[in-house]
Amino acid sequence: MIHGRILTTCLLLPLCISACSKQDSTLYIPDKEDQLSKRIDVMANPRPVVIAGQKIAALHLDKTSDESFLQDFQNYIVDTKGAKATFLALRQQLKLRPDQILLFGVRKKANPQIPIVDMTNSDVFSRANSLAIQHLALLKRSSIPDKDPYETSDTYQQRIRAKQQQTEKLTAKANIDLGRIEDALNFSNRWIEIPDYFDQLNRIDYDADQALLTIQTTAPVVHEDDLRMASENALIRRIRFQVKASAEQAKSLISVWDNREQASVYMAFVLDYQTQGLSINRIVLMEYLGMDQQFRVIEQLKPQQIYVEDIRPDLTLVQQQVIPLQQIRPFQFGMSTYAETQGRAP
Amino acid sequence: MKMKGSLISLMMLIIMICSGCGLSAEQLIPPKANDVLQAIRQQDQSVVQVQLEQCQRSNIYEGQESAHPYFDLYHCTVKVERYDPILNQSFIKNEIYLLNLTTSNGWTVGSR
Repeated sequence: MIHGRILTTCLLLPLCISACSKQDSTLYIPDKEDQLSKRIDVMANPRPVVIAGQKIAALHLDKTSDESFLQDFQNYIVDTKGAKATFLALRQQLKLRPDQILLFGVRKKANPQIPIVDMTNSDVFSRANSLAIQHLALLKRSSIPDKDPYETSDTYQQRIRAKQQQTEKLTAKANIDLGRIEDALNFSNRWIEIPDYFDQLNRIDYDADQALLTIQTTAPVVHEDDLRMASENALIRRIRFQVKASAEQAKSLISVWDNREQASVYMAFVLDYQTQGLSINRIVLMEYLGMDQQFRVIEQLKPQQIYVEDIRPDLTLVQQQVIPLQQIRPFQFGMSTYAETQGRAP
Repeated sequence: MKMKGSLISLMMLIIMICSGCGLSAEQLIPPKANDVLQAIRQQDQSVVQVQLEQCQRSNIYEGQESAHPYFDLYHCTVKVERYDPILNQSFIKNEIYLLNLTTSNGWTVGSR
């Protein structure tokens, strides 16, 4: 029996020593199959390339470019938690295709120098085209390092060349895709708001006999009470459209204004992109939910046309423009349009 | 009887060895590469793939009775690949992440 115990001890002791002297139990090196994660397919729903990056040179950044504006644009694009994230969440809610643009205008009232979304002419697209091109030109421009007083001119020149090569390598594959154009469109415009109470200028009416819903707002928002203070030559921009709707739909939409307290409602456009131009697919009405910066889609409407009217404070009509939906508005994004725009610039 | 006694002492010895060597039955399964990818992507959507090299487990109550695996932290060395949509290129960088297992969100990344 004693022999048995000695044998057991002899067997267990080396086991115990080898187990305890094994590698650090707090260090974990994963098995081969657990080392590499799955791969996220970033190219699953690619946005169409609108302007090939090779066509844009660093030199295109001219003196008229506002570098701080471009830098703000860069910050907007890369900010994964701010306005851009909210915007992407909205795109997901609307289930937009990669070739569709949501034109919303992310800039708020605090920037009166930024124009409100204006679909009456192609300036809205020209400005986005210029902004996207200048932004890439800025990325392609290499910053020139300061010269060290103790380095020779040759070494300094080599350092500049190396920096340039590094920038060229970094930006070699960069293109302007529809996502960047969409960013530029939204960043260079302010949103259209439907105010929280109705009057003669801003209203939603329902004609039950014709089953016709009329939505009308002003951009920027002007209320009837403001008209008394306005100069008689002032021009007020009124945006109006009509859409067929059932009584239930109309009731549900109008009730949003009855129920909400201080949340604002905004008007955005879904645009279909084609190489020859863009068309308005539909209008989206959405409600701002406040603190967490999220939006709720209230309704998506497809009127036949939108009326954009300039009126005087006494409500006389000065000019009316009709913007049809589902109709291509010719516009070519790219360097030739950029050159024309720059030629026009003062 | 003697046979039973030696069997019991043998089992006790094995339990002692195992607990002495830290092979607690309550120990967590360390994070795998997919867990790390998911945890990092909660904060950074540009990450497309990770390669988990190693993790070092620590517990602020180590050696105490209250050293529950719930308090385990994993300092992991990870090779991270990010896709930059502006530059249309991927970049790989070695980084260290502090991971812990939460009841609500699974593996989450703490401060780096």
